[in-house]
Amino acid sequence: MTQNLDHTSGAVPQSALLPPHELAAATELIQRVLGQLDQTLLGRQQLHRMVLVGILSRGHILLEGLPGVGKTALIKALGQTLHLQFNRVQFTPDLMPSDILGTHILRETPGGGREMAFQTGPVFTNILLADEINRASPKTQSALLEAMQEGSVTLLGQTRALPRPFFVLASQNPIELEGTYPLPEAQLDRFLFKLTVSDVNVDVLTEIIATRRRGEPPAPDKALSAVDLDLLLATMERIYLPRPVCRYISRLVAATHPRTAEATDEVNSYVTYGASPRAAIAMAEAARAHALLEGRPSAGFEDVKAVAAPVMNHRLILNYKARFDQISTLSIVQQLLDRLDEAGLKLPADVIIQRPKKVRA
Amino acid sequence: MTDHQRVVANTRARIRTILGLRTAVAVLSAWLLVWGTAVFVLRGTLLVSRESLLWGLLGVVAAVVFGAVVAVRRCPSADTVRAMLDGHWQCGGLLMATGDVDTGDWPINIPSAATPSVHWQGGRQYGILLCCTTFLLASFLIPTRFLGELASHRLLVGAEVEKLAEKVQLLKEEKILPPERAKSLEMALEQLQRDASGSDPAKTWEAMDHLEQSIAQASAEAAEDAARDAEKAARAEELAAALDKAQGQMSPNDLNEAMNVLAQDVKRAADEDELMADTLSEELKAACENGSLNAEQLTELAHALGMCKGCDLRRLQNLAAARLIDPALLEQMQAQCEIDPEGLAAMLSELEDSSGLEDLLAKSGKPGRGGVDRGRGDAEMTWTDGTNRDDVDFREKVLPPAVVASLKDSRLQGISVGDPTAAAASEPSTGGSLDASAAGRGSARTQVILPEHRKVIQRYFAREAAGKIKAPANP
Repeated sequence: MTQNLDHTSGAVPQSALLPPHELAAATELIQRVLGQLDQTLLGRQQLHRMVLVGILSRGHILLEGLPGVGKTALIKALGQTLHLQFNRVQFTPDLMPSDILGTHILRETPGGGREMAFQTGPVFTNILLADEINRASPKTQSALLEAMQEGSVTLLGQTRALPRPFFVLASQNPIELEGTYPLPEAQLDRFLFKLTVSDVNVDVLTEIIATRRRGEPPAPDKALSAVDLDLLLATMERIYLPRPVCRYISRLVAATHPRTAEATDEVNSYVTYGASPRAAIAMAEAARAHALLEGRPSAGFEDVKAVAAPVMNHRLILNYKARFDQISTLSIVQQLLDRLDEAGLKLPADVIIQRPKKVRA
Repeated sequence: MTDHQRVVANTRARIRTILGLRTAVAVLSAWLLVWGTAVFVLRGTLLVSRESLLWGLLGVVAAVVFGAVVAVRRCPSADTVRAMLDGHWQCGGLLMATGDVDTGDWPINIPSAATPSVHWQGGRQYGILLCCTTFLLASFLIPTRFLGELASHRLLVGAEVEKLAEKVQLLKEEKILPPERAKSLEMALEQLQRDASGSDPAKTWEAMDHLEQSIAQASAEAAEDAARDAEKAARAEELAAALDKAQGQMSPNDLNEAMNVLAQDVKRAADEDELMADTLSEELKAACENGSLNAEQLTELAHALGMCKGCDLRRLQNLAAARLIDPALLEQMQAQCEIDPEGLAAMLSELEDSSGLEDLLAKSGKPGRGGVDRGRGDAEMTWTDGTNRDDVDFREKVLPPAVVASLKDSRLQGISVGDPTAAAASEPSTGGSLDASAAGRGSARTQVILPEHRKVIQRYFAREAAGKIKAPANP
């Protein structure tokens, strides 16, 4: 089922915040989706929230984790819950671009003639599950570049639009494993999030074994309708992003570049290339979506902090020194979040603002 | 104003205060250091007084104003402070949104007492300010003499110049020096103090000596005039008082003669003493010249003359107090100006004929009545019989010879041991090879025996002749 939910209009100056009752309807839908996902996959609440943030931000998500941790199951459950068309492609080394995008075939017309007809590939869907995307060759991986960024496919000079909304949810094994092709930087930058799917703990594992035969999750019973998804995306458009938060995002992304004004020592030492402007855009959208998940009409600094790590952890290119010192991207992003002043007061270092203990009236 | 607006305003005010304090302390420290250095240098080199260096207080005010301006300019905007508070209270952007959009029914609950406190960890800056303040105070309070020693090229003549200035001021007040002359002397003193240099102190001291000499000369002349006027006034006063007392006991001729003498004395004194001329009334002068002074006018005249004498003596006292004249001169003048009208009146009463009046009056004002070892140099000499030189012998005494002029400036260079015969040091060798030599002996050169060696050689041969030295064996 193809939904045409194009809300990518330009920025419109907002004069008022979203009223509480309008936001409450969207929040209720989101909580329903989260409940379905949490019921389907046990012990992954935080991962489910971030995936939903990515979906609301219209971004593509890269899930990284070892085999068998539930990446594919999560994406399948998400497709069923959102009631969107879902295709799955198992990426292999011999997979060709035409296997994903589609190809032209020669066929006979009813009049007896012959013509080249386009046979669509699995990319023509709402949710594309690119399973083990790093097992395909770079050539095939790059076939998704236009589809992910432009939402269209161009073959033989003809551009065909993909259904709206279009999400790529890719999974990959850690790149240290044999027989894989690391994703090129341009490809990585097109993913909104890179989420790490870690192992579940013993309690969750016990619950899975005890309640699921052969580990099969229960089918979602409350799927969203197209109208509901439309409402969610429309509400997302009205989440207010204050100017100081925009500036904080900009400063945060700028600080990932070495030898800039607010770059930390770790950035100067370990980062070769910082995050791109696309990262700032993605972070702003993700912050709005996170605020919507929290039931707020505006995004704050805490929303930025919540999404900063998954937005930037695949966009920073570290040098060999970082690998030698076992410095991860996440640790560098976390240091940036800890040290960067949110509001940018630019006060002297010896002027301390001691905030009183929080007392809610 | 809502609670959150009040919190934002209070927070900005606190930040402004701290920023202003921080900037003011920094600027003030720098200014106090500069000011202290300026005070130290100006006091040490130009001997500028402390009071004239208080202009630096304006810098303190400027520092505070500058701190306030910087605080206003550097203070974060309301939006920035609102964002800071939003982040702290985790308002999720609601507080930030209040500055841009209508928040509608969304509650923003921030207690008004939640204004964050702003602290400045300025211990180091406070320490620097304290050090600079201490330096400034030390620059102000350090005694001038220590600064003068530090500035070794300065010649400290301040005290001497001050003394001279006081003397000039006194001479100016006593109208001894005309105002133009006094002003030129004061300017010369100031110039002298400015130009006093330790590198050439003789020039300064010479100039000061010259000034002091000028002042002393003017003082001496003034003292001489004052003494003379006081003496004349005293004599006239004595006569006037004596006539007042002896007026009824004198014959008309004597009285008339005495009046003439008094009129001449008063006129002479008034001509030379402006003070007296101003003090005596015209009526009194006319009566004095006419010789028609009655008892009342005589009393008035004596009183006026006494005032003139007192003024002259007071001037002398001031000059003596300022050490411009010898205090002994003052005592002498005070003794000289003491009058004895009763005694003079008695003598005038006992005067038999008017021919001796002038001699009496002339003697009454003359010195030399204190004995043979007292009195002034202008006392009248009294001669007795000449000394008899007969029967007087002078004791014979042999004087030592005069010093030889040619040896007065001679200098001992040394004592020669030989005969005082000079020999040329470059005397050539005489004779040729084996000249005047016997067989087996001789020398190719005749050794020149210098005078200082001659005595030794003679002694050597004298001993050889006595057989005390053995001749060396031939190899």
